Amino acid sequence: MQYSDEELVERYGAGDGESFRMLVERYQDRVYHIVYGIVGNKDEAEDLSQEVFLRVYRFLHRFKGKSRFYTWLYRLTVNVCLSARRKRKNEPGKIFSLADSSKYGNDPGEIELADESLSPLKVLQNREMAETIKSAINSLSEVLKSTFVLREFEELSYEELARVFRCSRGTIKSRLSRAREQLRRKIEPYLDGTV
Amino acid sequence: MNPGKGFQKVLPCLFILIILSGGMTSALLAIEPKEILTRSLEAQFGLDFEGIKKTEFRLPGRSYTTTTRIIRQEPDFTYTTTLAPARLKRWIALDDGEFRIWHIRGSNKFEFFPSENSPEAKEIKRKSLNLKFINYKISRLLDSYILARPVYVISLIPRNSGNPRRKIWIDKKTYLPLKEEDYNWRGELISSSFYTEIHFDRRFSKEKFYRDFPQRPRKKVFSQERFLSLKDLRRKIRFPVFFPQYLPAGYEFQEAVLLFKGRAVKLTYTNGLGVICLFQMAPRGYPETIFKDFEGAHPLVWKKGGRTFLLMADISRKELIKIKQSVK
Amino acid sequence: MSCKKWKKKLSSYLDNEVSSRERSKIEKHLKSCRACFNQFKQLERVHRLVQSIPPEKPRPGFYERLSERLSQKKTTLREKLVGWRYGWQLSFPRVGKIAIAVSAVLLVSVSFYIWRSATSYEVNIKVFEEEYFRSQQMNSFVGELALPVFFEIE
Repeated sequence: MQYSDEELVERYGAGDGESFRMLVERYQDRVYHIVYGIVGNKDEAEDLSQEVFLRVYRFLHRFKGKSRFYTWLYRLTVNVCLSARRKRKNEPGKIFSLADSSKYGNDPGEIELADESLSPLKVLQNREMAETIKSAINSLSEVLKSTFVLREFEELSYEELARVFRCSRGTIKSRLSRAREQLRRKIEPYLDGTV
Repeated sequence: MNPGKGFQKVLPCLFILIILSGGMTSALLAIEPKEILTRSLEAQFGLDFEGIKKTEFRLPGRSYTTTTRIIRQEPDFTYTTTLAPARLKRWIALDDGEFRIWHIRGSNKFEFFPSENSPEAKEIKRKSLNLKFINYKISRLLDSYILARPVYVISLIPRNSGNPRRKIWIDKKTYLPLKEEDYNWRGELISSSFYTEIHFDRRFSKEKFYRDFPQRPRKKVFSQERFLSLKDLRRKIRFPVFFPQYLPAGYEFQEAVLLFKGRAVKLTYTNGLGVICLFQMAPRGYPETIFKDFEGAHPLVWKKGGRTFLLMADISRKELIKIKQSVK
Repeated sequence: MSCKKWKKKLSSYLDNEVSSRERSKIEKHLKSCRACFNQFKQLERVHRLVQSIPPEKPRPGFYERLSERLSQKKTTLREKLVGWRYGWQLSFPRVGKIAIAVSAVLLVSVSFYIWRSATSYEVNIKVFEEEYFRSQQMNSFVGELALPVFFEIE
């Protein structure tokens, strides 16, 4: 049966533990992807993703339905990531770099290529570019990074992002603009002129 | 004239007459085998009894036997516990007409299914009986005894060869079927089921059965959708379902079941006795579906259109392949 | 307007978060200004690159691990107050714990085989045999089983 998020929350409130599981399964991949985008390594992503859902379990009864469920969920996600990062501020932490590329597997199939008939050289270049961009994203400040990741990975509108971050639309606009500008400058040397 | 002699002459005639008329009467009152089956089906819903039943289910190279204790209370209450084999001993099932609840005694595990005593389920069983009338030659064999109770013995022979056949022993007094044996088209036993003990008119307070459960389970959502008609299926399914375009003679759609939370569909077809199950797994997003323990199993498994199919039936391989090729 | 001001708008333009009036103004400017045009193209490139990053997924068994952690947490005061209602919900994490114990080789119940096969994408033939058997039982006269026949515990 296909229930909406809000229906599942209601059923959970009525005592149906199964609904919690359905919510987790519905969002686990997306939350993980966002967290991974913000923290940059798998172990921490796993740990923090679990933390996100632990908090969902603890606080779901507080969700009043004033916003969409995912807005509430993503706000929780961002908070978990940012507070974790603040704690680790002094730790160098693992950032993903080209040296870590073996972790993602050197399987060229991993990268979704628009044109499947690319030459091996192109494939290699694309993979390197993906690593480069990942590394560049990681170098953004936490707030810019989380805003950018949520926008790019979940395609939330500026309105929705403003609700998640509890700020104004103008702030979102400016954060994304700054994030993109920084990324653009970082990868500019890698762009071979043929944009 | 000697009156005794005259009387002696009449006696054998009288005797024959009585036997003949008795025979004729019983022939007139003789119950049609179809009627026996109909009463037997209704008896299952309308009796109170407690019994112990042994069931054997055979697949090529394997057989499974279970012994269960069954309690039925009319109109729609069933309570079953498994007595053997040991590995299943803690399983119990309670059906109250709305839900069928599976539970492992001593744990907090519950599973909720649509009741098998529900109107939908009963309707499917009645339809199945009609299909039997259409597709099978039903005849009565010599009466017999089971558990010292006189029984009718009914045989069902398929009109289309290649289908399984059945023999049922039905209690004369209550019309409850006490024993059943199914054979496939090759004459091999597929399954057998019989009561080793039966007691009628036992009434229980239904409350006492809930004591086996750690707490009275609050009724929840079904873990599976069962007894779905084609219309229901179309409403609920999230991916386009493939159907077989060819079916052996006499087979009709019986029900659909959603498995794995709607990611897989089981389509059941029947001719009243034989059963064909087509399973299909949803495509997209799921890596290679791995099937374990496949050696020796008889189902046909194949992939098409990015999804995996499984076909199980007790009919000839040739027919199975014909069905497989017709699936669109 | 200096290019600096135009450049600030490019990000919103890329996200399609500008009014239609703004949009036509920006498009008009991009047609005439080489520098801004190149800048925009680079932003697009960044966007495409980010979109090309394959989505990361957690290891299989995410919910199992979560349940394990949930069952380890002490019940909060609120849960104690509400009593059995939360107890019912907590039974699920406990379920997960037991499932981990037995799921290595053998499957325990319908909920587990559905659940586990949903997460690990492995499907045991027994599931189908069980379903086939149930369909046979529907057409049987003595059929009253509808209990798992094929599953193994411990």
